[in-house]
Amino acid sequence: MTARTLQRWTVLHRWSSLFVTANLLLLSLTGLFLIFHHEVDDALGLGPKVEPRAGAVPISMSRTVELALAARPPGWTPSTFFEDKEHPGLAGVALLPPGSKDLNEGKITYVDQVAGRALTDYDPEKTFSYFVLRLHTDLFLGLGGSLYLALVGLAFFFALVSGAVVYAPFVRGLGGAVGSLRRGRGTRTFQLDLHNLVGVLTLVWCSVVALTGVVLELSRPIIAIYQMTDLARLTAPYRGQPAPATLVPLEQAAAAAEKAWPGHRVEFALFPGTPLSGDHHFAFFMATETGVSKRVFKLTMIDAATGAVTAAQEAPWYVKTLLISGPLHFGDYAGLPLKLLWAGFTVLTILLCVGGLYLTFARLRARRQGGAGAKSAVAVPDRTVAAVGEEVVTR
Amino acid sequence: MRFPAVNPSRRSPWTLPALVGAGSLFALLAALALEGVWDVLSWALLALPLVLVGRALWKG
Repeated sequence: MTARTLQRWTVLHRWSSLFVTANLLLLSLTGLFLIFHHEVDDALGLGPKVEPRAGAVPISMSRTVELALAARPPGWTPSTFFEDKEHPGLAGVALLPPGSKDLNEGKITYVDQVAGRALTDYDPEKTFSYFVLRLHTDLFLGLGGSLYLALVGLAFFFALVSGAVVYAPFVRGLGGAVGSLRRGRGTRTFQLDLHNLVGVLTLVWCSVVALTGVVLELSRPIIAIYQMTDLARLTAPYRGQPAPATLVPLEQAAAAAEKAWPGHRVEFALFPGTPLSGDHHFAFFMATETGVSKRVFKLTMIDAATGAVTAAQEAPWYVKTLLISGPLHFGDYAGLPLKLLWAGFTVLTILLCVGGLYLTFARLRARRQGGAGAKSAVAVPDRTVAAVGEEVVTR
Repeated sequence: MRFPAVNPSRRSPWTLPALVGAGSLFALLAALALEGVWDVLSWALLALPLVLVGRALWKG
């Protein structure tokens, strides 16, 4: 690598990192909270209150939806049904306001399926977790905020890659022993070593979280693509037909979906009238209890008027990518140990941001104090490499 | 223009980062797809960067 190339990568790393830093600090702090939001909500008594009742028989899916609808003003329509894995016996029903088909406008009502009552006193949107979640996902700016944060995610990934490129020539100077922290050579050198060490060791984790975050932020465009392509093809025979006046019961449709995919259970269901199901179908995303299929959902479209299976197939690759990005981003797929690891990595990411900021300001201060000669100095063991203009000189 | 001398050791300086990176990636995907004892292996692999940073901070 020539000195000019290295210098260009350094500039790219510096500016992409500076753009990302404040955003990433916000995302890391909010993300750190979100990793444990179930635990925090439950500990503070802010979560849904459901007492475990072993052996109790839950009410049906249809009755669950009826109770959720009864808790809202007339005209609201169900869009999504799911069972809360964190709280067995609890189901969530997302309801759309009159006239809306936008899943993002859905308001979730939780129903205690054992007690047979809607939890009207629990509104997940009025919790601190929801405030933090919105801050983390779209900065309360809707689609614009999501797209901006997708850009931040891409810039973060670029900062990681450029950081590795900039770091590469100097790794040799560390005698092959990655992870040497040189103490006693000043705070700046120590912080540089720490920044490089943390950066290179968390490179893969940070890249995965950054890229899956980008995919999640692009969920609305991804759903729109699905609606215009694969869903349009699946529902083509129904085009122009009026939406069914009466729907088969949800549990009947779910049973048909589970029959189409033996060994699978319904992960979540979408009612007719949403962008993912169209006007004439229930859409079921199916998963197994264990194995890869637990995360790679199968799609089943059930005719809402007859309960017949219209399509049972793998979800398109981009929908799969979207679905699998969730657990990889949240780290919520293997219990508390993985959450703790995720928290550890998040703390290291904060360290990376703070260290990077320190190095930038230290460089500016050195430049002001030392003039042009100290334009960019990077210390490595036994030698200091100073990039002055386009020259790299070994002292 | 001169760069710092190439490490005379035969081991590439990228060996450790590459191993840790590959381990992290494997751990992320294995924990996603597999369960049981694989979970424990995944956690151990994924914890490696945290352990290495902790070790470096401790020992310098």
